[in-house]
Amino acid sequence: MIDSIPIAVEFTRIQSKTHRDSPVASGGLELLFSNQRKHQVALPASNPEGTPSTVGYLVKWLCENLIKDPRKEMFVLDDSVRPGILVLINDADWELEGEEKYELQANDEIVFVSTLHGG
Amino acid sequence: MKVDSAVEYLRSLNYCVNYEPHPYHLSPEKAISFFEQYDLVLDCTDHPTSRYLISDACVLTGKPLVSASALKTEGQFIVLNNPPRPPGDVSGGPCYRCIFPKPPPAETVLSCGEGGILGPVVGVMGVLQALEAIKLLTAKPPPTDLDCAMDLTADEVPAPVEQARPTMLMFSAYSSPQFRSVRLRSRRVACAVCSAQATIDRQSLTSGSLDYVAFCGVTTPTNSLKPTAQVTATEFSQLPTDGSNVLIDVRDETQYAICALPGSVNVPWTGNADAWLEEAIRVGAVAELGDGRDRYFVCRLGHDSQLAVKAVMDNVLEGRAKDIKGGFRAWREEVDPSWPDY
Ligand SMILES: [Zn+2]
Repeated sequence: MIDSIPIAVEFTRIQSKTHRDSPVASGGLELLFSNQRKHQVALPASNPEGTPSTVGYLVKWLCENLIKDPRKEMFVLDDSVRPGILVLINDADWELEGEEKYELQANDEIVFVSTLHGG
Repeated sequence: MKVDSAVEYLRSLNYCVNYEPHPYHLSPEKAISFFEQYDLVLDCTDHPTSRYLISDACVLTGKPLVSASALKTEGQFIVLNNPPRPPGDVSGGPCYRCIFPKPPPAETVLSCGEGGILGPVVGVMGVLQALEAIKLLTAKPPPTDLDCAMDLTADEVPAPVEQARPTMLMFSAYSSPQFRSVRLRSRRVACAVCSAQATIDRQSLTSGSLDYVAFCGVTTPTNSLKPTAQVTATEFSQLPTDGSNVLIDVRDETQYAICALPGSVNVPWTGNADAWLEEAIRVGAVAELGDGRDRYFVCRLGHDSQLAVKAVMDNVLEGRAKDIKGGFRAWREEVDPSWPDY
């Protein structure tokens, strides 16, 4: 029985307006995650309730273990990923895979993409 | 106007095309009658309010939508409402609301004006849009029953038309690989505009009852300071430069390197009041117990400087912090017209 599963997590540059006066060097979501876009995480294979770890659990786990910044609301709002962030499971919109209920498999690649609006 | 210079430039590139400028903001009231005159729409705008409006109007007029966006060194490209079936027809392509049912919080939306954009990145996204537009306009119409009957007598059985699978193409100039294609969902069963349960119809747009600005939310301008804690740029320019005051510039290092007032101290605002204050004290810009000198705060537009003043007033025994209203934009308008307008 393995007790952790390797997961690749990536954040595309998610913008925040916290630095709204900074047109050149404003921070992305990766700032919340030690300024690093790609992470290899070893996620517990099951959540505290003993059920297999899902993407929903991964999001919670990232907030508790990886975010170094108090501005968690840039990532999570009302206990789910905030609007404007698209979650990809192995290059597919997570809605095709069951959203937060998707049970993670070893070496799954989860990407959090910020929507861009600029034109 | 932007639209006129676009037409002028495009005409010099290719005068055979018929260009029609529409020199006004796209409003919900006008969108339907406007889109109906065309075969497809390309969204090149830069805000969620226009993106939702354009997508809704495309669904309601049955037009495919080629949508691209870009910021800094990255871009995103999606073809929406393709095929452009009527609302309720699940075989139609998803719309913007299917993919993004809720708008992002207004304070997280960064425009190109604020975030900056690398020209060739917009170029890449624009060329992708142009290519998709040509493909859509020259695509053969789907076979009719008559075509199928005729095909039975032909020697070759036509290849089945490939159903367009909704995808988003992501471009990132500095990533390897630069392009990444991801699969998107199909139409959302409860989509507010393209589903059988739609609540938005032509009437909602033409009557003007749908408020896209309210839907997407607006950032309330920071106005947390009392008038006594602010001075105008003009007032600041008249202060003595005898060391009785300190100017703290809270823009980031890059902007500070572009232009700065002599004698100012740069302590970039980081979004976190405690961390910022700690840094300001560490570099000696702010004295923890006050030193009898006034502190003036400035940034590009006058938002972050207010937050910095607040951080100082909330945490340090110093009632001598003042914000320069409107930041360097006001400085340029009121005091120094030669100040860079970036
Ligand atoms: Zn839809």
